[in-house]
Amino acid sequence: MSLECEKQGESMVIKVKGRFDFSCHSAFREAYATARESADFVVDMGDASYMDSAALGMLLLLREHASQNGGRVTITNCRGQTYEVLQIANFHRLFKIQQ
Amino acid sequence: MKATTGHIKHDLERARTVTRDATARIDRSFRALQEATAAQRDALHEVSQAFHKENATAAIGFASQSEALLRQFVDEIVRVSRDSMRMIEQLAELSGKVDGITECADAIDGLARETRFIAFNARIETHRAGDAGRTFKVVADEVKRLANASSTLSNQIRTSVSACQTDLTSARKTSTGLASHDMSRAIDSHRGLIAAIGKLDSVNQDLDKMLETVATNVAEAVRALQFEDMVTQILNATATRVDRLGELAVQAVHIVERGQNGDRIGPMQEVIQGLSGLGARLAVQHESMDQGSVELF
Repeated sequence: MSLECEKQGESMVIKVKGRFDFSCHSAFREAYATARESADFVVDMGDASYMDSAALGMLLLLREHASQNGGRVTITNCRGQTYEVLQIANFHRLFKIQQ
Repeated sequence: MKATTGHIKHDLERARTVTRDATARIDRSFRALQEATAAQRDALHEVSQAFHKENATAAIGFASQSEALLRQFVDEIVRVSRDSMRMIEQLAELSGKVDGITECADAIDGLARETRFIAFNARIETHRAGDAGRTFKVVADEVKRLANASSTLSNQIRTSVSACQTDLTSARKTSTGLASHDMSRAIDSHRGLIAAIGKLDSVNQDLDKMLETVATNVAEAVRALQFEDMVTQILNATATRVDRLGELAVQAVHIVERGQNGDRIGPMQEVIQGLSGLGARLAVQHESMDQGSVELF
């Protein structure tokens, strides 16, 4: 796994590559905790091959972080296993999810 | 002539009897079939009701309940994962603070080193002072002892901190285990349940359709059995026509037998009129079952 962060307009884009699981934890937290000037976040799952429940937990913590600053989280480019995991976890209720 | 019409009427009567008997038999069996279908439908309905009453619920209800349970289970996993990830963050912060304690222990070590150095210098000074410095030597030794005690204390702190870090690492491992669950099985179960619900739904619909078709067909067959009425009407009409034909034939024979001088044209015209009126008078209103119920004429 690896993470790439890039500021696009007002949003901070976090691009997840490979397996999105516990091993991303420190990098993922750092990515949003240090992005002080951005309230909105985009998690790009285009290159993510797999996600587990730890990834879901991290997304929820990011959501809490964003909402504290009045921001929103959008999850983009979901497909296959990652889309199914988000669906079964009912994340549509909490996030804007784009396939 | 009478004998001939008598034979025809006898045959008609036989046809009527055979039709009536056959119809009665078919009617009885169709009604029994209709009752059996109704009973089957009631029984199925009762079975489904019984499932509901005993809270085992009908199969669809059961599958839906399982789906709700699965969702609840997944929600719980996600909640535990989120809390575990939060705990891991808190443990990381705690670990940082514990590292701060190690820095304090290092600082205490530094102070102890400096104090020992001062005590060492003081001891040299007491030697140079000779007897006058003897009491001060006791103070210098005491300071050295305190410095060593500080070093021991800082070592103890470092040992405790190390044990603390070991425990934190173990807590982090436990939290990681709690947070990390593969979601594939939940996805597979969910897929299976959705498929099962769909299948059950379609089976239920098929069953309903099947029962409906059987009921419709049986009702149609029972309705069709009214052909007996129609056949009876036709046979009755034919019998009446045969009677009338017989009468007209007798009339015609009399006219012929009345002799050569008699006026035969008038009476024969009556007979011919009677014959032509016969067909029209005895027409049957409905020719087929498709025309609905049979009306008497």
